[in-house]
Amino acid sequence: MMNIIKVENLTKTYRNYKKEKGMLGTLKNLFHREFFDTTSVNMVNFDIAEGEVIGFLGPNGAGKTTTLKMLSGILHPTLGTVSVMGYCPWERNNEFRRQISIVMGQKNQLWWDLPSNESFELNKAIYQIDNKSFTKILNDLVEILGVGDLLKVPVRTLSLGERMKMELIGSLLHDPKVIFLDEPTIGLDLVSQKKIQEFILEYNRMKKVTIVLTSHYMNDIDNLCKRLIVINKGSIIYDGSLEHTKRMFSKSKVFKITFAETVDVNAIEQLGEIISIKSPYEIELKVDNDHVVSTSNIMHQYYKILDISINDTPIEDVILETFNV
Amino acid sequence: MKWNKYTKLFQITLQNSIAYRVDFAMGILSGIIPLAVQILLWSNIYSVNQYDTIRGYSLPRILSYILVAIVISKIIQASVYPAIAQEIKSGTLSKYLAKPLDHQIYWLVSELGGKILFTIAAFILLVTVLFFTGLGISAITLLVGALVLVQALLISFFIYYLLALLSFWFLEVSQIFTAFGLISTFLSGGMIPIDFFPDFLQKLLVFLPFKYIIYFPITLFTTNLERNYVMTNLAFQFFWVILLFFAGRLMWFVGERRYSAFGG
Repeated sequence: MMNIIKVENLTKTYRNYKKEKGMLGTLKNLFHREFFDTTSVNMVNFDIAEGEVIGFLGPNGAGKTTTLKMLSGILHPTLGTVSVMGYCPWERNNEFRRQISIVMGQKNQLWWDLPSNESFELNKAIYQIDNKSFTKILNDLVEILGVGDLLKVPVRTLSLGERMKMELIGSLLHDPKVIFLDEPTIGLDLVSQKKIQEFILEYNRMKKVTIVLTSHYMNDIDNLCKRLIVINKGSIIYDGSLEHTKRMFSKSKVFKITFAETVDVNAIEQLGEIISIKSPYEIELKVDNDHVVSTSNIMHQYYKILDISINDTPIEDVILETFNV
Repeated sequence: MKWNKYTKLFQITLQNSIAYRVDFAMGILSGIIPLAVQILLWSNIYSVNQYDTIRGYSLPRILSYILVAIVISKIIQASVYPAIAQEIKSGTLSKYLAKPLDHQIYWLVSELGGKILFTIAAFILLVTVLFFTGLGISAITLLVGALVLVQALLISFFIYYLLALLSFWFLEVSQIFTAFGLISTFLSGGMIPIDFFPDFLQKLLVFLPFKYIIYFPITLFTTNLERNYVMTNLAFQFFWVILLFFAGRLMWFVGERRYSAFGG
């Protein structure tokens, strides 16, 4: 399988200026500015094969979005090389840009006050899509996503989930070969998340396009990607199969329990590792997978409980403990 | 550069501009206050001192100049530059960078699409004003005048485009726009004719684009200019259009490297 994306020693450093509080700080800055450099992406290396759906997972500020912006040509790197379909992204060759697409979960690309179909027509002109292809692709996408009756209303009136569907359609009209998705399900309710995930999966199956996805939801990665790159503080700390990662990540669960009365903390400590005690009544407890059922039984049998939930370990914690960051 | 990429954009900005017709009318009306001030001021200057002419301008002539200046200012007034600056500042510029678009051309088309209806309306108003003040206009002058106005509009746009790109270096450019706007209007002869400026300033203005933005169009419409003079000035105007166009592209080339895409 050909490698369609090659990334070597990719680095991005930002220069930030220090500013002290208040008027004095502002005045000082007029005359002398101190700066500090932040490296948000640090000597990152990876290759992606054609047709892969690959996920970048990491906490906020890890460097996922910055990496994606360099792969799509939005940002110039400080160091390193990237080749996508043989092009250097930040040279912004029009042929290159005609074959890629980027959708950013936090940023709209459709015109806010206009109906979606106007934005789609605009993309049709910009990408110079012929009438036949445009109509066919649009109709197919609209049907799969079920947004036919929303095409003519201004984008600003759509819900977040509906808007995301429209953003996706707008980004796929020109039949791109490489698609970058930056936090595509952020802020969406579970149902919408699932719909978007299903769509992306189906699209990849049908079209064999290469998809690079970033998220801080394990859920997205879980449902979409076979390969996972974990990035933290600008460096890749894991690059491998999802299956393998899941086995690592599933070591424990987090119990969030609200008790009806004060409990003996020492007794609780026997069952697992206490993460937090918000009051004598609210405790977060980390429990090994093997002991989840027995611990749950103990809770229900021996304690008066107002509320209990059993959750996956948050990804940030998993990264912290698994990779000793 | 494939121009048909931008025709849909032109259509969209044209349609959007219709929503701003009230704004436009208000803009014209708001020009009446400075005009009233000027009429009073100049009438007093001329009558108290019993001047027939000042620097070659009779009272009727200077009032016509000012009236035409106000209309032409509205025609060539650039309008998209705050949006350009805001995009760079907020990080929404990113969405263009990954699309096969040329930033300068995209915004030029937006500007033109957004202005064309009003330009035509203001042009009709201008011709009306000219007949109203007894100046009249010949068909040839009208045609040449249209070309001069188009070039003036382009010069104005390209200058403001350059200023908007300063957002790559400075966080707040709105003050730069305001300051520049005042200076530019003054130096273009938008407040009083350039003939009233001190000699050294008039000499300096030969080397700057300002007089081709307002002064040249006004004098074309309000006085009988010699053909050679018109041709030469048209050429100079064209020179500035081309120079500022390329300056904008250079500024973009240097500036966009600094783009940090903050805001997500």
